[in-house]
Amino acid sequence: MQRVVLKALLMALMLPGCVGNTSGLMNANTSKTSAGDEANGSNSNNSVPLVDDISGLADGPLAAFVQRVWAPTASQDCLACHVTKGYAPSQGSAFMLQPPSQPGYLQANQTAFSTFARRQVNGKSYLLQKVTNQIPHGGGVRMQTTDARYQGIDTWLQASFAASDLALADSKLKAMRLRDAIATLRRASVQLAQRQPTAQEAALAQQGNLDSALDSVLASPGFGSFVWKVYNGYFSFSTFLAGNFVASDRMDGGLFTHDQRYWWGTAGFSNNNGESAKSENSVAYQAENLAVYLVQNNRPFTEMVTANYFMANPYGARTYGVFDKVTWQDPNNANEFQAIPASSVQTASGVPFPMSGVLTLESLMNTYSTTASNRNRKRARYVYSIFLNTDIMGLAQSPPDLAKIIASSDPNKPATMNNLACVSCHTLLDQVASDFANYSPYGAYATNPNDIYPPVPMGGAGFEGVPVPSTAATRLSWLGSQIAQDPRFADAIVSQWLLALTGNPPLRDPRAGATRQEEIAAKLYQEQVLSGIASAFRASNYNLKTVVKQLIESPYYRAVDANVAVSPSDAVMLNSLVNTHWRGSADLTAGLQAGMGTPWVTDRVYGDTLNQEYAALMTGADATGFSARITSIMGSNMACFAFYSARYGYFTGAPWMLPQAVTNAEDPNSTTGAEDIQQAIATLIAMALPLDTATAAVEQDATWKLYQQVYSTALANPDATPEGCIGGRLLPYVKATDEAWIAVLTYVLSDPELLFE
Amino acid sequence: MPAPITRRQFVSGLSAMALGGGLLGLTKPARAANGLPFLYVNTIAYGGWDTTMLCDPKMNPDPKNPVTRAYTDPSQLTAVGPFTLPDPNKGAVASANVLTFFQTYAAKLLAINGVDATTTQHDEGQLVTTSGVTGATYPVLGGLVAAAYGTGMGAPFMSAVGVSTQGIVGITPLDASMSDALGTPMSGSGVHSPAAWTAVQAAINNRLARRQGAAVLATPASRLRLYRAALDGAANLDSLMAAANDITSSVPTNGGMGDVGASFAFDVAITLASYLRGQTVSAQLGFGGFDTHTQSDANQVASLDIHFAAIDYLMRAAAHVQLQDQILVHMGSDFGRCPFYNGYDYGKDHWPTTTVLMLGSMVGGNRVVGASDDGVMAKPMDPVTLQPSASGSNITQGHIHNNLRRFMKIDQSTVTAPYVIKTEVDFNIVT
Repeated sequence: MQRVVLKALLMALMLPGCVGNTSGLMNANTSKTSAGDEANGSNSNNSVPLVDDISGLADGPLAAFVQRVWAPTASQDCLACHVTKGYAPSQGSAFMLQPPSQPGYLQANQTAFSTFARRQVNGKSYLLQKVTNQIPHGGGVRMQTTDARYQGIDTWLQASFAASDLALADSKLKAMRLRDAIATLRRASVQLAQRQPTAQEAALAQQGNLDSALDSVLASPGFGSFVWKVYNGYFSFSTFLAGNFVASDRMDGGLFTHDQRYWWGTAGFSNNNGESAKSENSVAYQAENLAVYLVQNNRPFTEMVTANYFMANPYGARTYGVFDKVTWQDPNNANEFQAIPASSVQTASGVPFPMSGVLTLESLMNTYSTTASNRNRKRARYVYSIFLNTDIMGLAQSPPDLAKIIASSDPNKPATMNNLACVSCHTLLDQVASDFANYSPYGAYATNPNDIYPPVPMGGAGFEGVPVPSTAATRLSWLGSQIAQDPRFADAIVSQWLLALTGNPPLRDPRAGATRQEEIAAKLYQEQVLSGIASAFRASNYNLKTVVKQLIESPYYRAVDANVAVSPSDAVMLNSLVNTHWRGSADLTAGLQAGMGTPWVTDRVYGDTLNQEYAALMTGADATGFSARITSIMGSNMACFAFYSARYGYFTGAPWMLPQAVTNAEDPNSTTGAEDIQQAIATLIAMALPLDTATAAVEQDATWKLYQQVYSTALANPDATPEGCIGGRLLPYVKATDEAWIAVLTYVLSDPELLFE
Repeated sequence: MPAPITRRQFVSGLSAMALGGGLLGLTKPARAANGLPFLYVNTIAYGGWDTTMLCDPKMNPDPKNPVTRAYTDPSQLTAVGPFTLPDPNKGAVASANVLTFFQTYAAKLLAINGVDATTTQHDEGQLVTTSGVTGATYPVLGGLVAAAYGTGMGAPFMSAVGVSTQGIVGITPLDASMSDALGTPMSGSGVHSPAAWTAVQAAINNRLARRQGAAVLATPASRLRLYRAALDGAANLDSLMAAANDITSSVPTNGGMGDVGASFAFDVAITLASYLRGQTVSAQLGFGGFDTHTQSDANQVASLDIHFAAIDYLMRAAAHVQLQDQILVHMGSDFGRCPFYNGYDYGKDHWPTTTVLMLGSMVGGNRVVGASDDGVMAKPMDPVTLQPSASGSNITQGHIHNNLRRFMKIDQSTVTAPYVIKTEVDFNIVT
């Protein structure tokens, strides 16, 4: 079988855009940890869990800080006010903490506490006297001396710190089985470019130059589609438009006249070729197309929030009245998008066309709309979330202090500026919300914000304590420039792409729920990796490909399983590296496209059955009886059509990539036939499945046995062969061959490895 | 997609059942020795419902800063057994469907007032009402139930909304495309001979066993285990649509269900049909419209109307398939709403005190447990007497979830073990 394996790999490499998987990593055959080891430990609403035994994996100073101080107390009780531009500094406090969105926040907060903790008053810790209000504290009594949280801080203060958490974490990674360069390349190519790696890319990876191989993958048009999809998830204007609305309805009637927005219905146009849809799509998907443009042209990704241009195809350009100001390669090509300066737009009202990347787009305004009471806070919240890596809601104190709420409630004053339970978040949120005050719920622009809603006290437009300068062109263009300079922008993009590539968001901030040291170590390690990638992103002038490549090359993309038995505690950390997600309909289709040359095409829905028919059930979130049922139907159905296509020339529009031998009826009992069939099976598996070499060899044996079994059974009973796929007009041995191949294809297409991310 | 059954077929099915067969070939799921003897359904009222418009009404100690403007006098309230509700027939701004619902189901209804949600954040509130904890991500209770009792089921946990089981059991999204998936055999149509399909299935099973045997870490092992469970259950979903169609064609939706009517009816029908087939043990449903920062009273009424008309549909559908005594509906919300109005057009902001409702023959109905004071602050309760006590504890969602875990006998389960909810005391409200 070894010869067959090698031959299959060579054949796979010879196929156009196809490469086999040659991961040489060892098989795991050791004892297992329990499923529960991956889960959180115990938690309580009413108690503060602490682990008493500071030893082992996370036996370092930062872990001790996280465990004793950050998780049980600082993150939950201090951060809400002691955050940059938060309530505490507004009251004169110099004690500042960083939220989880900040790179290296745990280290920074450890430093802040350490510095603060050295201070003594009357021979006692100033910090401990503050939290108990023995020294007057703006937040009052936070805990009693008998409180477990107090004891935790006290213990931490007295501890001596020596070992390095991260060095220990690094040592544990040696137990991890990672995909080799070829397997990593193949996974990335299928996922990001919807194709197999080219022979040249495979050669680069084999030579140890995975980075250059990835450069080639990321330069392919398919990667643009992936980027488009990622940002469609954040600016899902299409979802918002479901119903009677179209994008042109949501364009600003003050800036663009009705005839302009619906130009295809005016004199000289007929809409015979779907001009309206081509124009609407151009308007609706500007955010996605901007992201693609930035990536494909290696422009700084900060232009997502600063671009003073917009993306449009020839049809969308007519909507903005700039069709004649652009030199088009093909004025009838709806897929030709160009970056058009905002200054080239002449608005109906004569005001300069306001443009600052996605911040000013209809897609953001409508995806995150607002109301008279919300006052753009939703928009601000998502700007913080998408571009500043900050969960504003996560800054709030939990559980809330009802006494504070009641004591400071006043129906005659806005709670957001007066109620102590509200100001910690709203101090940050409301300034950015006010930056959007020129925009209506649907995104219409007014030069005077009061034309949208009457003014309410919100603290003024700005960003984190800095008001918008009077010299700023617009509030949002100034906000965009602030975001672009903020280090959290890079962290936000890295977090987005960790999720996009692996299906996993960054690990949760260790709070009271994280009772195990190893969970803290896992978080620290991830912080180090992601912070490093964010730094490289900034150093590359915000080239998004830097982020994508470095994440792909990291353990978070390459981890498969442990290669030796590990202790349950070590397993907690190693499990954090392995992604757990199933492919949703879109990703599974991409895998099929790359592996088999076509999505699931049936005669019933000629196109893409998974995405058109089963997207809601095939979310990728879980394996269920329904998803297993659908993929089972898919396996049989695709096998039937693939085989027919290859052997009898049906469905020639679908470029099935089946090995040549599949189309030959050969006797598996002859030496030549057996070898050819095994060769075809090996090639098929190499094309379709992301298996390492050892697993692929096992699969080839199993598949060959299945072939032989089905062939001999079918030969003995040709009348049992169903009419649907084989037909009754063939000779028995041909029918047996056909049925065996269809069984084999069904088996290969049912491999769970095809279903996993 | 199979055609819906006709009324004649349905009547024929009823006749067959009367003669000892099941409804359309369906029989109630056998109560396995260790199985859960009812369907567990959790619902979320997204946004935070106003408990003073439900069954925890308040008068206004401070007319200048009223807890509610929906009613001003005790005469505008109506008692339904132990429950006190604002009555729209007496001039209160209140949901007529809520009142009707309590009148219809009082005997099976348990209200827990004065529940301390411990949060006023939506994300955390939705976590705590479905899983019992804040600050950590635990599986929702329906997921734990499914993981404990749903082994081998095709759709042990169905959900119409986005929740997490932390990967311990698959979530089956409730969606209309289920009918297509159920209308095609797993082997495709006319693709394989029976012998070939058997051989393919055996090879698939062997492959999965090999991979499971090689997995070391919990994450890849868990992934394969879930896939095994999904495969086991997939084949058991045949004929589900016929039973679902029977429900939707026989149980009319209520106009009060508004826009959610048809889709909710489909979700209910699939869930009940799957339970009857022994393929589902829990479900998660949800209703929007409760985050009423403006015009709170009117908007709460509209959302409560839909919510309780829909739960009424669920109960009528359950009764249609004779499951009226084999369903536990656990209703909650992110949290409650403030005991005062904000400055925005009589909106109400978030407030941690809330109400939880349990509906089912097994919960001990006609009861109100827990209480809040005039300012909608949770009153501490004695865990033994379940009466207000200064030395007692606030009832939290954690207490309620622990109670339900014990009641459903999953508190000692291995699937629950990693997700302990620590509380100082236990409240045994449902026994």
